Amino acid sequence: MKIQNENKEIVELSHGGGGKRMDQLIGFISKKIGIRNSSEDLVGPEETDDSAVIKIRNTSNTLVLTTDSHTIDPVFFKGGNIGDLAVAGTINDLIVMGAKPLYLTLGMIIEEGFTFSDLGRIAETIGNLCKKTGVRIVAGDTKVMPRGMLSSIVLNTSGVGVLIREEPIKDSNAKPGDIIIVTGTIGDHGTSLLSLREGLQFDTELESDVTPLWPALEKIVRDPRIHSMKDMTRGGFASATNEIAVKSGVCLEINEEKIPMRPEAKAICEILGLEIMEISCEGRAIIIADPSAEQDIIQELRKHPETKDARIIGKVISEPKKKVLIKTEIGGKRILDKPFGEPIPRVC
Amino acid sequence: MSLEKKNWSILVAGVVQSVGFRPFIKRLADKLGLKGYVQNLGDAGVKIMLFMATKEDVDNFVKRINEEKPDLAVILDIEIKSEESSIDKNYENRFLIIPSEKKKGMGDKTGFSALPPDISICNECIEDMKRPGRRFEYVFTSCTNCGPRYSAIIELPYDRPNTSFKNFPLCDDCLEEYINPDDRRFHAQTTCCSVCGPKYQMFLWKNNKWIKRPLNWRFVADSLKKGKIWAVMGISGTHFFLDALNQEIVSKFRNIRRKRSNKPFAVLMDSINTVKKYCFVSPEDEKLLSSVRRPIVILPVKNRELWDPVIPSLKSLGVMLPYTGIHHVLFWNEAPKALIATSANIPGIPMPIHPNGVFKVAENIAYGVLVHDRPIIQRVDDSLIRSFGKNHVIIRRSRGYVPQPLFHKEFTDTPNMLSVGAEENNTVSVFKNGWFIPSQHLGHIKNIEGLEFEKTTIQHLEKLFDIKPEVIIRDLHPTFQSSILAKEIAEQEKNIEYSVVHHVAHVASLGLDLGIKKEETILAWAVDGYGFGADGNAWGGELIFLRDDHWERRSSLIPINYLGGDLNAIYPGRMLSLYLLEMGLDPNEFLGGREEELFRHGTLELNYLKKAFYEGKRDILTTSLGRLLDSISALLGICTIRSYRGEPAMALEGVALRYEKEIDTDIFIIAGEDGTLKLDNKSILREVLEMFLQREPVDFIAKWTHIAIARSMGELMLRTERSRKQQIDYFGITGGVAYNKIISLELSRFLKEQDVKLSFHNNIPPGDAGISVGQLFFIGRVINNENTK
Ligand SMILES: [Zn+2]
Ligand SMILES: [Zn+2]
Repeated sequence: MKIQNENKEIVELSHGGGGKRMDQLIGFISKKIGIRNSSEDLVGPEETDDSAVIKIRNTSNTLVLTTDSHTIDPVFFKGGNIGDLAVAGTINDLIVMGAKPLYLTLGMIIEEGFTFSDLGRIAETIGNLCKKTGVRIVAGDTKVMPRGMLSSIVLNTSGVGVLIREEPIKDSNAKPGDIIIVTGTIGDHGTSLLSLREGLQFDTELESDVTPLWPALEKIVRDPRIHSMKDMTRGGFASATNEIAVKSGVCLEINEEKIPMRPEAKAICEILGLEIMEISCEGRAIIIADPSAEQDIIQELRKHPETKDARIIGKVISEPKKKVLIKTEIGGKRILDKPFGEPIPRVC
Repeated sequence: MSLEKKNWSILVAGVVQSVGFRPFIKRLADKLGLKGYVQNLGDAGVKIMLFMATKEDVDNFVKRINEEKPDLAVILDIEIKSEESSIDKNYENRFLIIPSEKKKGMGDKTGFSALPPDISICNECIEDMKRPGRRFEYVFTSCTNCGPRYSAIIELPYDRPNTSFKNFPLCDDCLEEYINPDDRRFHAQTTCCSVCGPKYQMFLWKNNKWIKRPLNWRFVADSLKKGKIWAVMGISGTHFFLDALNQEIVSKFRNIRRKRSNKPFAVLMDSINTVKKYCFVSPEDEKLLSSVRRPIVILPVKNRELWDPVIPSLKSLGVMLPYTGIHHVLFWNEAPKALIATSANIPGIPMPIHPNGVFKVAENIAYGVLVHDRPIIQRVDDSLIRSFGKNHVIIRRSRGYVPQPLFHKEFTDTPNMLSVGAEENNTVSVFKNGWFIPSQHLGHIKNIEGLEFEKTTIQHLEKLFDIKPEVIIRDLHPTFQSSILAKEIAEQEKNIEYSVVHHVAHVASLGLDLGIKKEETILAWAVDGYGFGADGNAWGGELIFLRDDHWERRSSLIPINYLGGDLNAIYPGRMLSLYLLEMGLDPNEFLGGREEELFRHGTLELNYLKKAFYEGKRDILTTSLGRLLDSISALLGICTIRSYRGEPAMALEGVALRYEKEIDTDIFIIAGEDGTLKLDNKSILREVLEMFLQREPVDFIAKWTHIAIARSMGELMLRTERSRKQQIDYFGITGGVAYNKIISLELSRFLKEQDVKLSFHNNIPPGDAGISVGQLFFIGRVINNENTK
């Protein structure tokens, strides 16, 4: 059969999975809206980076803007709750562009029947994180929906920051010869939720990695030797690395055994048949930097509890362009693609 | 009868270059006293000019070409035209072979001139190597009848400057042979000798580096006898050699090479007598083993214990006979008569074809390496064929076969196409003017090294056959590396992109193999481990009807929950547990105590599987026959972790072959939820479970499994035909399970009892290596119909 455009008529769950199908969904909406870069954009919406970077005329500050919506089941999980996600996700998107996060807006859509005590716990979490990071909630909106119209609670946060370096940190700026660093173990957030959902109990319990990376990454973000940076969220390590490889037109060559992973997280994936590199994180970043910065970055990252497990995991090479290669222990370099949606078998 | 003398041009199309065709024409013309010339025309075939000849002369000449042509020449078309009767002074008294002209698509009807495969060294060249002189023990000895071809050619026409021998100018003695029409090496493009040709070098691994030593065949043979391992670069790839009957060293080699893998090794034997000493060899097997193609033939062994380290759990051994000078020289110098000859590749990476790659792969493994300076242009693995006694089924179609094309006359107007196959054991294929050309074995392309091999092979084939595809075809699977590659190429080259359902491509490949016509029908079981189904499920046991470009899925196994996807392929015990759950049984009751053996994560994993199943989690379902065989293999304790592709099912068959008596079984068919008849895999497993609990012998149960499956498959075919009252022209079997000798032969026997003939593959592998050419055949039909609308 001839290949049709994958314009299925309805939005499917896998369109939200952070993989190739999500790219299609975003492309569809952007095209309909007619989204375009403007001359004052340092990083415009067409680049689909983590945040937009806008140099407003006649001001000294360069604005960095982003927005994010959050749903999660369950709302309270090991290591955090939806409030952590809402604050950390948006702040991290600002940081990885090279911004100091300043202000948040907070939108809440609450389902009828949601308890005040739960709502209170979420609000307190948000408050504590704002204190810790020095970010202020400056505007908000609240809606209540009838029972059954949505699952418990949905949060939206928009973030505003200012650029604290000459140039924004772009996905498209990785260069051959650069080193690749991951700031901590991958897949903790997704696997900890899965272990809860599927009742997979281990001796040591998995916790979500959700955390704002400010101020942990403050010094690093200021370093001009940082070329690219990305926080891993949906689609996990695979999505983040592929975005950089494709946008920069380079190859990311990664040593599999160097990637920090918790054995329990790995085990869960091996039981469920998932690829840990596609599992979501909420407090981890990939850093691509000039090799001369290696020592400084690692020493700095080790100082902060959020990034103490940081490791150099590979290097950027020029060929094959737009690919992420995983060097395995037994030899051979496996191609790591951007996730497609649900995992599809392939072994004959 | 016309005695009028005219000039004639004769264009010959087919496989007529580099098979000694021009020297043959020259000799024939001289014999008949004809004047003129013969010339290669690149991809347009061979042109013969005859000056001042009668119509009768020409007819007789063409008749004798057809009758006496060289063995490997395939003539597809001869076009004769008369021209004006002037004479060219150059050819007044003689017939010459004149330099090739590189022309494309000249006048010739098919616009196609194929290149022969690599051919094993001929007996005359072997004799040359035994005689003192410039070719004594000179292992690159070749002539117009033998030697490297596909692996050594850079582009057409097939002349020395276009081969990897271009850097080896002929010495005076070789040149004399090359220009002498009466010599066997007249215009032999790969001829050479110890004076002018490529050379081997010998290195030993000492103190963690490779040290060069003077080449000494006797030394190599002696050290092989002492149990040393050698890496040897050959004509189209690299092998590890070691004494196959030294069990200790074979086991040691297995441990270093393939951690925890039971993958069988192939063995190179010095002579057919040695093969007969260790294996059961039918006359058909002997013919195949000794053919100029020299494939590895998988034969039943006489003494299983003797070969166990080479073929763990299996009952058949892959054997080949010497096909290049270096093999003969080693045996003449008394190397062990049976040498393991396995591809010297790092697992998951294609084998090296440059000396540097050979050094790297052999580090810390080989005692020594033998490398040479004749570049290998295309990597070509040994071909692999399984003997079913009288019949043979081709598993890996590579050296000695590729790039020989298949032809179908209903496709001569179809546009040029490229197909990229599937992912494991992959091949690609190109198509032009009715010719289907499958590539050599590419292996697994999930790694970048494999994918690069696929890309360079596509380039090589497109260049050799002058094909610019308008159409590119891929598997329906959205994330196979081949599918991603196809999308990239389609975007770049502005090709029209098509996809084909995996198992439809399997059946189409069988259709091409049988040469089915547009109006003919085929009903075939496409049985294997996994393919992305038209509904996204994991297909692998499908009864498919195909006519022209229309296909239907007529039956299958009962769908089974495939929770965890690929995990079930690697851990057959997990698949078994899902089967038990589907049958309403508690896996703990039957597998209790075996959790650690069957699951990567033991009890934890089984408990999860049960919980998820009971909660109704059903993402993907499988109808795979391969997975049913895997499950039974795990239940019987034959194979619980797969260490190479197909292992659980192959090991199960290995055990079944030990049971030599006849077995009678019921037939297992049931009406499925969708109303169609299905192969009742659940009841088969239930019976097996009962026999297992009653402690019936394992070889009996294994054999029973195969027979019950085969008969049920046969009965389903017959009932499908009867219920539709539709004439089926061909009944067939394809897919990886078609390699299974017991199932294939029992299915054939069962149908024969009902006067129905089962068609097997002949020239195309039934496994995934045949997918790419099946994709071409199916989409070719689609396009032909679009074009006539
Ligand atoms: Zn010869
Ligand atoms: Zn010579």
